[in-house]
Amino acid sequence: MSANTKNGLKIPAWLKRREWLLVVLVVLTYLFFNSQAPSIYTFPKLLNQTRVYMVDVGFMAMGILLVLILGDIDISVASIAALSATVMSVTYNAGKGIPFGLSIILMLLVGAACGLVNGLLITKFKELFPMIITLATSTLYRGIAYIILKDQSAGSFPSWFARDLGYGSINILGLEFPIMLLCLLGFIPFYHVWLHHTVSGRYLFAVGTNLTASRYSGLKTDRIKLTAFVVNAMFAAVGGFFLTSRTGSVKYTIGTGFEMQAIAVAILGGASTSGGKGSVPGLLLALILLTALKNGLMLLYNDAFILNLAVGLLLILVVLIPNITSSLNARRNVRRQRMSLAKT
Amino acid sequence: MDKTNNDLKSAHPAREKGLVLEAVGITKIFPGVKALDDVYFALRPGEIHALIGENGAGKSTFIKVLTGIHQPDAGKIYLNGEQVEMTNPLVSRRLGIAAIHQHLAAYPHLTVAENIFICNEQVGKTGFISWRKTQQEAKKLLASLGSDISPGQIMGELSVAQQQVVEIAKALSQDARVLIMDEPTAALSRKESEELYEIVRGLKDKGTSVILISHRLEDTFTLADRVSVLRDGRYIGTWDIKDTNSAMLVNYMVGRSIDQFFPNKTAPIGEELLKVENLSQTGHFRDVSFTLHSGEILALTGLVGAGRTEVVEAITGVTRPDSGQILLMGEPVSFSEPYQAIKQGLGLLPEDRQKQGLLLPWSIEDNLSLPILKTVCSRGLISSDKIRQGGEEAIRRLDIRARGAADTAESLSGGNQQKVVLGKLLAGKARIMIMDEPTKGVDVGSKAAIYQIMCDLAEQGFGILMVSSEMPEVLAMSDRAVIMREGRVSGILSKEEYSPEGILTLMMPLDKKEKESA
Amino acid sequence: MSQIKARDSRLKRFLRQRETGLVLVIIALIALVSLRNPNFSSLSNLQFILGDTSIMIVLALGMMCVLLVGSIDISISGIMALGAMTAGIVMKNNLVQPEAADALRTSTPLILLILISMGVGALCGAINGLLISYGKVLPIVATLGMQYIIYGTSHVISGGQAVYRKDMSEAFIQFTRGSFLGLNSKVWIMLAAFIILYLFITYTKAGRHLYAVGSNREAAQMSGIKPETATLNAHIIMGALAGLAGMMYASHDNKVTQDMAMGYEMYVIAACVIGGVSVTGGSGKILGVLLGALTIGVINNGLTMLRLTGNSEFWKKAIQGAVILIAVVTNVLISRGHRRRVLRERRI
Repeated sequence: MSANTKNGLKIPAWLKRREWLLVVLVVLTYLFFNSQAPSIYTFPKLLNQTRVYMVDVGFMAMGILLVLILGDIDISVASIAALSATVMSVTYNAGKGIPFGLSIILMLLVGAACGLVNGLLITKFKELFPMIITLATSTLYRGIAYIILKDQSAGSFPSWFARDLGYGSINILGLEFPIMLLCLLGFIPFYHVWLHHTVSGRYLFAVGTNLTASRYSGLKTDRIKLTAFVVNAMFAAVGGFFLTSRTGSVKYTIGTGFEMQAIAVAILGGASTSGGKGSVPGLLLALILLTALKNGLMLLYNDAFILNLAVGLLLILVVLIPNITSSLNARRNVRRQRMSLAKT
Repeated sequence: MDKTNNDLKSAHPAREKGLVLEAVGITKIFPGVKALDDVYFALRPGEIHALIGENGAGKSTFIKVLTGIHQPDAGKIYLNGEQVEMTNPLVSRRLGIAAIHQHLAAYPHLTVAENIFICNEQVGKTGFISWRKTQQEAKKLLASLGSDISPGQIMGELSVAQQQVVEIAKALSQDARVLIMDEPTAALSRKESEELYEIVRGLKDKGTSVILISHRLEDTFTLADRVSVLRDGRYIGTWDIKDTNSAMLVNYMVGRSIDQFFPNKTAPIGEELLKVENLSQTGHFRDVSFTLHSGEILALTGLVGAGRTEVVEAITGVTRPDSGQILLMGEPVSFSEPYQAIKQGLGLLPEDRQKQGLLLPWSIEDNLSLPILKTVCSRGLISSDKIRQGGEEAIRRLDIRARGAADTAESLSGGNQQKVVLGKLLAGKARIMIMDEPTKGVDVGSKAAIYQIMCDLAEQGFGILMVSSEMPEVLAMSDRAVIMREGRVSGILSKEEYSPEGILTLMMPLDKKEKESA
Repeated sequence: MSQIKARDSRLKRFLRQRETGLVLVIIALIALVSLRNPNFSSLSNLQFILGDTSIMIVLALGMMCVLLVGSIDISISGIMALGAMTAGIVMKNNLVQPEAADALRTSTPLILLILISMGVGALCGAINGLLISYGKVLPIVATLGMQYIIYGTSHVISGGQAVYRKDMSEAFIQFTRGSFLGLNSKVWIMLAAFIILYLFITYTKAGRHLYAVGSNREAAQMSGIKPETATLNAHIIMGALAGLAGMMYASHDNKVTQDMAMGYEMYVIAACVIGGVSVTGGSGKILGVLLGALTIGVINNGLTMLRLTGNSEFWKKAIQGAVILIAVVTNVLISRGHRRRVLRERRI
């Protein structure tokens, strides 16, 4: 705990944050792949690839971060994304249905409804683990998307959605920034301020740190949980929105496995499934790290499995290393106390 | 105080020969606290040795060191003159030390028989566990304790008193040379206690040495041969029981005489604040009624498992009562969540401050600001300056011993943690304070401070409902006492009617005969 | 007097058992589906369901051990794939193509292949267990990461090549196709695993300690049980059983792919929960787990046989989700009722 090291050097708290570990990893990853493939692994190309690896998972991870801060988990986010994207595409129906704007609102509402169901089940049946509940609703939501779409795929969206948002980019200072990425980056500051500097954001951390104590302190813990699950589901729907925009069509299988990726991003960024932890800068860095890593591995191996292997290793190491160092630290502290005892 | 300490130190016996167990210079450090500081303890063969001290004096930690659950940071343990290293609980068991721990030790999902023989499994010829033998042996042991608990019952479904009997059976099953009993009678009826006394005396006659930890001084006086006192993790001394009396022992435990320790409460009793009528909750308590006035400290007392905590939880919206009424200044209210109770001016200081009171990894200031987070904002954003101000002010006002408001709650000692929880309560707008064991596991100095705060609050017109199992605390602090027994109110006494014996009689569970006649 | 009362309530207690309830649910489900499709309750179909569910039961037995100590494993489908893939590669490399056209292909002895797969599984389980008990990584995180790693490893060692029927020895193909006393060999394997695990969990110290650690970790530590060892044991058992299940799955499907059995862990966990295993650890009966898995098996199979709409495939997924949800929620309501009854029986 103490910031003093033995030789009296003081390390400021902001330098001890785990985000620096991620920064170092990002730089190392970039340098490594850049030296392996200097012509194809460059910053502008990486920037262009963010639309594939960063935006949709990023939004889902922002949602799931809220749930992880609470100490819960939601593995139905990818299914929620699929179901809400399905509703969006079916109601718009290639221009023959309702206006696209309305479809988008409907999409968000469907997302919110899914989250509400999750949240209600979780707050009413506290004996059940969120993992089990969202496991079942995950099958249910994707099943509903399957009923709606059968094995067809729905496409034909307005051109601004499928072309501009999906593939367009804006030139800033000579670099081509995908519009999607700008949407994500533009949103993150608001998200950061809300989560880290407002009352409702701090309530999430309080409930995740100690639910009982928060309840005894007068927090409306059930309502906080419910809201978090609804907001999480709406983030998932937004993730589905960007995913659809980049793939151009919706199938019921869309985004399969994204829940694990989103959870992995949030945990890499400093969240813990036991709750009370998580940071937005960490989340952003984790996203950047994964984008740099996945893009590089894809260029070298062109293989999704190897990519996943690397993600898995990273996930475990990033969680394991601080655990080991902190337990070593604790042991050293006790030894020091014992030595000072022997002196007196 | 230092002078008396020195006097006492010289009082403890010089190292003698032929001891069963001797612990010298035991020190145990937990993050931020010295739980045990140079503790000495000697156990003679075939003696019953009481170990007493206030809550938080370090008794349980000391027992955990003796049984190998904690490793001491300094000090040595000798068994029959030989130094031993209790590296884990199995070693201590193999060396013939058995212990009845408070609560912690039960496996709620397993059967009674299995609870008794866990880690001491009754193995058949094939090397497999023999369940028939386990059941039979369990039944025998329970019968020897005069209990009719069925060995096949699930532990979690038993009452606290029954669980305690099972724990005793478990310790007896080990045929130990040294038997440690941590609060064995805390939930037992008088008859059950007496049966236990008989068993303990029988063990003593067989040559077993017993270490007895008990709240009740009467246990100490009826059973023990010698008594050792701990205070704030330090060893105070050891005496032959016949050389002491209860006033002396209390004095040693508290470190000053009672009238110095407890502040003088002068607050006048005013209008009625809270009235509870026939409150019931299935399986926990029934027909509980009492009133609380402004300026009053009302004690709610009873043995472990009597339902005190359940009552205050039902009042403050943590759980819901099944029937009955709660009146707040004459208005009927019903809460389904604690925040509603808090809004209406009911503050709860929960029993378990680490699990229910604090966010341990958070700083003191963040803990203090949690209930009033909305008031420390400027322009919609949380202001860390305001939080810091509030934190520093509370540290000053409540005399919280910490390096600063940014220290984490888990780095504080028990007493200072409790002061932070109190600070959270005081920051709100409560008029009624419900304090569940406010001084549990708190050092003597903080205890006095907390008592002073309670008296000050009463002076300001607060009504305080104090749940407590500490007899001296109930006697000295409260104006009236509601006594509970097995989920019902067995009596309400006013200060003039107080006597330790009278209160204890109302607390003790009724024996079967009494129950049938009742 | 109390003895008469005890005997009297024995019947009640039997009826209140979760296992009894599950049997009734299974019978009701079978009856319900049979109303629409009488073939469903035919002996051959019931035998088919039992065989089909055997793999899930084997996995659920392992999952029960893991849940008992308060852990969880979501990497089991990966372990199945890696175990089967390792054994498959060994089999492929040692395959002897017979010269005569009608002779059978032979390779490494089947028993050795199974041991290889189970060994690989146990190794993966041990890594999971070490990460969780000594590395203090939360079970969901550790096994989620391992899931990725294990699938990746299986891909790397196979070089992206699946093992097909032509690479398999005849013994391996027949491994899940034999039958004895009218029951498929998968059922016999499952029964053997069931009995061994039953003995382990009821009659050995190590088995009982799984319950103790899950029921009260602190108390277990105080009585000298090492929670770390129990957690490690549970994960090793889970891994070995996943290796076995992987072989059954591969032989049944006649192929081993890198993404074999993906998503299977969810059904296995659901089977345990329906069977009455507490996700927080400490309680759960092995018979309940068997019946829980059978319930899911009957539902899955029944949904196909129901032909709700023209092609029931579209509805199957959603109904599966809904049914699992209903099952676990009912589960909670039942145990709440039980708790209330215990409270009411207390005399105050």
